[in-house]
Amino acid sequence: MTVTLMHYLVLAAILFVVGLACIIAKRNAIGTLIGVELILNAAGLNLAAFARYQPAFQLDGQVFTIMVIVLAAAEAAIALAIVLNFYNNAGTVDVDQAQELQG
Amino acid sequence: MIDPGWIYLVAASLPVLASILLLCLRRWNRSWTAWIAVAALLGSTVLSCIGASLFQQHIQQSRDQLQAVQPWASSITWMSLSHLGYDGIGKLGYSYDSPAIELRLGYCIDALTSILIPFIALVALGVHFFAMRSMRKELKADLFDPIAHLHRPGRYTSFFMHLSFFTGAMLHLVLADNLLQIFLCWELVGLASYFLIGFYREQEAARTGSLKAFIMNRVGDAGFLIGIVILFTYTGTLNLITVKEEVRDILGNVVMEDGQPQWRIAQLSLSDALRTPMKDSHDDAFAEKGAEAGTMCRVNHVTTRTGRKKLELAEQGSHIVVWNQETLNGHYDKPDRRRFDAYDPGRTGGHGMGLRTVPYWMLTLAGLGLLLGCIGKSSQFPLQTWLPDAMAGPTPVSALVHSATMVAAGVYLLARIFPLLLPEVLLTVAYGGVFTAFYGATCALVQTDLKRILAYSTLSQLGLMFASLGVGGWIMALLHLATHACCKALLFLGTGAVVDSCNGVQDITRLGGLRRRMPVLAGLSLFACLSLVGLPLLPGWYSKDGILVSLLSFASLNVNHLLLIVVPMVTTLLTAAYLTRFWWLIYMGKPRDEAVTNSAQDVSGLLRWPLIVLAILSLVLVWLPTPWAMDNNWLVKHWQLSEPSSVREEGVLPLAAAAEQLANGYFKSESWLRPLYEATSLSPHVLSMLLAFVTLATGVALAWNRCRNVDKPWPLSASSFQRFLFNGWYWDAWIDRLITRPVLRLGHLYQIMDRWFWDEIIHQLARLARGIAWIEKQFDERMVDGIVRQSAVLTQSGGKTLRAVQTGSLRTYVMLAMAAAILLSLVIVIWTLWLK
Repeated sequence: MTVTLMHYLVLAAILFVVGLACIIAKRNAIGTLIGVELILNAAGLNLAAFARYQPAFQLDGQVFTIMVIVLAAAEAAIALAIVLNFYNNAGTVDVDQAQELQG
Repeated sequence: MIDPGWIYLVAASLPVLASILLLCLRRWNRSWTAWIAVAALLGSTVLSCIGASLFQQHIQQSRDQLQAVQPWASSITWMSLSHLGYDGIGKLGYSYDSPAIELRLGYCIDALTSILIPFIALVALGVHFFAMRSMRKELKADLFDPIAHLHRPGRYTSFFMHLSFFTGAMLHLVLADNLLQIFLCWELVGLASYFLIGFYREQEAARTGSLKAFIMNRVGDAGFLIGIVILFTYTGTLNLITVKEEVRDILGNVVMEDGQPQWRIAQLSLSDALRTPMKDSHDDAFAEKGAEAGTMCRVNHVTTRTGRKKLELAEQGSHIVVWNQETLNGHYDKPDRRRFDAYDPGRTGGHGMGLRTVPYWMLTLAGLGLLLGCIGKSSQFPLQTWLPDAMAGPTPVSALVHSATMVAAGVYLLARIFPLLLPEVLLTVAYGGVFTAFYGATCALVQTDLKRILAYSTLSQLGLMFASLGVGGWIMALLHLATHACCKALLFLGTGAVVDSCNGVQDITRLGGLRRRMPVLAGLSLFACLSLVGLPLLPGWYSKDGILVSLLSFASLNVNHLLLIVVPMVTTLLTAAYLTRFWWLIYMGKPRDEAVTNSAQDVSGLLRWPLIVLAILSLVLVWLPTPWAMDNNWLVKHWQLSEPSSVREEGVLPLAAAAEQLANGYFKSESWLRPLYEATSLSPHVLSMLLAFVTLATGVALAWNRCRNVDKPWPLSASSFQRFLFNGWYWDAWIDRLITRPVLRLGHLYQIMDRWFWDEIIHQLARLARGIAWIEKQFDERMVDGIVRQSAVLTQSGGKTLRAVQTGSLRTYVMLAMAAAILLSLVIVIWTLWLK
């Protein structure tokens, strides 16, 4: 069995759904962050797969993948900082407790 | 060449300047302020006397060159009413190709005014001098007014301001060369009179008197304006005197003809417009048809068989030809271009013959209107009642304004416009004057107020002047104007002196026996009284006798108008009676009220000299060069130069001609005077003199008999007839009943109509408007405001609903976003499948 684009896309979709479920299900802010990382990686996997199988995306896909990774790193740094601050203020990392932004 | 008329212009303007100066100075109530007015008046007297002597030289030069005496006249354009022209039937209208009609301001000095101006200035000067003394109590800063019962500051300076203003306006009135300018000055004089009558404005009588004079004069002025408008509409000019200008060629040189400059008419005079020009100056065709120079051509409009319109001379024609400026100018240029038959009413003035006509009745109306103005100003019947009430003013004012000058303006104007007056109007003048003379004399007979006696006497004498003008005694009317002015001013000033020295008592019944205390004044007053009565060789005799001769001549030529001599003769008797009574009750007999007459002192200094000067002036008027030959009198000879030629040509005869005609046969044939003439075999002049003398002697005798033994007040019994005369025939009451009250009632009616009809309509309209407004308000509130408000409410509730979604829970947001994404994907998928 050869590995086709579809396999990659399905894997990325599974990864995406897992990440999403993680965000929805986890009340821990760290868990939510992990879910976000999973989603980003799903997107990166997609981009890489397109770069591999679609000649038109050969360069763009790789560039965007790297971009996503860099973004993920930056995002993780900022998010962790927010989480730390939140913890300092509220004494917990439960996202359900962070409801000050409600309308 | 600039004529020396500007001297008069300066002379007339000086008092005006003085009054302006005094207006600025009126806060300084000092005695020296009067000297400004007096100095200005002295200047104008001197200047106008110089002017008069220059004019005398001018007359002499004209005589030497065998030319007619041209008046000194000059004028400037004041307003230009451009392109007002006349169409063929003589209506004023817009016409592009006609030359502009101008309203001009100018002066005109002819023989009449050249003497009249210095005369007025001299009389005014006397009155000013007198007033400087008699108004001295006005110098006090705190003055008690015994009639109004209050204290007030004196108004010495402002009195002289008004007096100067009046004098200036009066001089300008005499100076003016056109009717409009005369009207302006006429109004200014009336205004000054209003101020002066109401000078003691704290007193009720002064206020009502001034208002009455003002309103009565306005009634007359309405007529004056009507006359002006009619004359201007038809003749296009208001000038009284023809201003001629030289004809110049292209280079500006004067065109000469036999060494004389050639003249053309620049401004047509009113009498030129209505009377045919001299024969040498117009078309022969017109002359042949019987139109005499200097008469009004009466014509009829007729249509010839060919359908052409033309004018036809007729004795009783319905229209009068107006010679407009283009006709005469054109005539001077091209003598034979125009024919009388070529008159074409269809064409406009610029191209046509230029002959226009004015309806006869319209000209009569204009004359009556002007007459009404004169009646108002000269206090003639039926507007006569303001003059007695005007006596509420200070005595110098009564002397100057209400006997010598302003009231004489009516006579002056009538004399000026004499050539424009049609026979019907002249007859009205004569009858009105005769009636007023009689009326005034009867009223003066029983008055007890000194000044009211003189006021009624004044309007009686003015009536005589009017009567004289009406029958053509032009010069005699003006001569009487002059002599009467002197004598009446003298009497008024004397009365003022009496009243001042008798503690302000004006009631003649409380005076008496003053001849011992004030002999000089008694003598001067006697002189003036006898002069007005008409004692031979005194000034009033000459003029009054002249007037009676003209009336006698007229009445004997027109026996239907017999009243015109009978009534004046009776008036002469009454005049003699009331003036004798006047003098006797003041100066003769015993003092009736010692308390009043005790403090009386004779006039002296500034009070005496003006009186003496006035007496001498009145003698100078008639006694030069000799007292016995009136034909040779300098004033008569002088004024004959400006006597309108129509006086001789309209059937109203001048004295000399009438007397000659009477002597040469009229008496001997069918006249009613024949028996009298045969009995006396005297000339009419002597006849009328004898008649007048007999009547006046009777009058004096009657009054003397009545007054001689009476030490009690007079009238002794207040019968209803005496009350009738005392109240001026109840004329005020008649005016009140016939005019004032109906007008007030009409006003009341209008008020009721306003309130119950017009106001009601307006109220209903207002209510309707309020109803409509209410509906609109409802619409606004419900519809317009409702939409705006509802949209706001919707937005608000939508916002409230939607904010429930914003839970603030991160996981809810994500879930919702995911659900939305799923939903969207499903929609897209289904949509795609569906489309396929």
